Amino acid sequence: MNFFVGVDIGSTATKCAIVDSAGNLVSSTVVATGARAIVAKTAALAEALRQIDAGPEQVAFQVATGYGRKRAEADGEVTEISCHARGASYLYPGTRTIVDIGGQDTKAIRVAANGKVETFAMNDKCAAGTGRFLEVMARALEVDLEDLGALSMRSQAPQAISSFCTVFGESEVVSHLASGVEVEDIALGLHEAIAGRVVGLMRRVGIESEVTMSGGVSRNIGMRQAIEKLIGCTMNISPQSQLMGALGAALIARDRWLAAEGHQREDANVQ
Amino acid sequence: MSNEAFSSLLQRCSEALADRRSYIETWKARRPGAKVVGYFPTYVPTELVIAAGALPVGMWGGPVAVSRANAYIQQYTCSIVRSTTEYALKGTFDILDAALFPPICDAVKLVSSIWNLDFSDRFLVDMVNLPERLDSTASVEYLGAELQRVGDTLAGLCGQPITDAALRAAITSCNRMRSLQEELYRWRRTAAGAGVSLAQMQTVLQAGTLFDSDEYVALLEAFFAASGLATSAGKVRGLPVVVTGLPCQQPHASFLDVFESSGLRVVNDDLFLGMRACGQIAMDGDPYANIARAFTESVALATRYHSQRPRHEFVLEQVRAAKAKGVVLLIPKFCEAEWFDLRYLKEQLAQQSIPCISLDFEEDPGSLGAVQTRLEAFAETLA
Repeated sequence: MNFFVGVDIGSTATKCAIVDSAGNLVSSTVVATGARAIVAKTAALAEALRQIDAGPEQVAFQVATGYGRKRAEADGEVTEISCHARGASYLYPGTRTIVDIGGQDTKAIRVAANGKVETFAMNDKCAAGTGRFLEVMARALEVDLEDLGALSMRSQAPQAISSFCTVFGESEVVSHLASGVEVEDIALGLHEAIAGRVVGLMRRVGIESEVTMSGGVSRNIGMRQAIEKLIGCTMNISPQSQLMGALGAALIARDRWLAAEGHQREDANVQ
Repeated sequence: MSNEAFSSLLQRCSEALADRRSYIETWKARRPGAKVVGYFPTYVPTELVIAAGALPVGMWGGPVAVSRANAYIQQYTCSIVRSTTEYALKGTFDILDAALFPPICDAVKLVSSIWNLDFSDRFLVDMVNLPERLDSTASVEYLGAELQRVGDTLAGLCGQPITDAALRAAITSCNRMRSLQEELYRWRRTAAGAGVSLAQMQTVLQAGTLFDSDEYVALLEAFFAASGLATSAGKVRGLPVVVTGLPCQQPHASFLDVFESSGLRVVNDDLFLGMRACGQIAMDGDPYANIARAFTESVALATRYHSQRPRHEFVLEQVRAAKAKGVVLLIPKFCEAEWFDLRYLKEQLAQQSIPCISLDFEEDPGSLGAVQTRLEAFAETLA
């Protein structure tokens, strides 16, 4: 049986998704990227293949995406913007706006009804509004990153955070802690500050329902709610949100293989 | 690329730009007592400088580590303002006898004032007060008088009057330079010029802001004479796009190379000086008025406005003429003038269903990974 692999090599995590000939997601893995992207990619792919008891010879086509895509030694490389659009439109066909918050990039993408990217915007070189910013702040608050969102939900009086620079933001957080501000109030203030920046990026492409959120930060409930409050609608958030780019890459791998083979694409809904 | 004539032209331009001081020193050695006048982009009428017997030299910034200039200019200013001031403080521009500025934006007005206060003991600093509006008949009269004033200043500096005959000769040389640069653009859109990268074009055009105009004209004419015999044809690769942005701060060559490595081919742009800064200047009549009129008839930029010839029409014309599939809006970081135009340009392009993307940049390109991703993604949307 042929399988199609998508690998999303992000700055924090490397995600691998495998779809079968019908386009069903059959396997996925997430590993830490670490210092050597190619090592992470190899490990993620090996584990994903192991889960379905398949060998590398069964991989018909492989597409890499993410910042490490150039070194992935795949059959093709596609930007994470197109991959997130493909993945999100596949899971939620009504998607028109996608917000992806990854480790070092935040992207707002507007897609057409056929899933094609119409326009997009990305954060600049600054890490404000990305997963890395939250990671640094969680450390300053001495809170596990995974708990930061839930902790912020307990706040009744969010502490406004004015510094967008990660370094100055950390100093500001430390200063608030020293002043006796509750940790949950700082946490909510941080989420609201990032949400404001992220929604500003989304407005640059135009916010149109349905909105789908992807990327690792989508697992943070505090972040999700802060964004939803600003845009005035709920967002599609799949259990596979973190895998969206890898899934999109796997589907594009399948598209390319089918195109090369002269087959018609027959998507199967894996939602 | 395989065109030997272009390779030879490129090498000559690259070598001169890599060691501008040597070029200027050699030029001065051949003309004892002759002056060198630096000018800040986007546009200063170099014909006046040439007519005064001086060498006009573009004062470009570059990816220099800015340290001294931070004591003079805030850090949230465009990089060319900071880098040129750093160069001035390092003494790089001490070879100049004068520095002319156009009043293109608040940041440049600020920096010219700082230079006037702090560097006027090293070289003369003056502002050529160009009008902001191109669509007023008063602009021609006003600019003609302003050019007379600048001409008198230059004549005083150079110790020789600017005669009408000398000014007409300078206009002839600069007109020829601009028409050859236009021809170069047309040539690059043919199969023979298809292998020339955007960064290589930047080098050749930027060299026009260093070379003696007659020497530059001779170089380009020699290139066309030689390339006319060449039969080599490059393969046209990449999706055709137009790049628009303020022709003031220039992107680093490595930044420009990302366009091509992302699958895009820049078929037209308004990034460079020369033929973009000012069109052909008429020869009959008062040369000062003719320069002023040519300026008011030039294309609109973020910093110069014409109610009847809005900037987007020029961009749309470039798209149509080159059959481009999209537009890249290139914005110098912290450039208020370009940011002001951004939304308007995007709306105009959207009305014509022309895809576009905006990218900001600094002279120091830094890490280009995010730029690569943006441009590749744009290419994917165009494919």
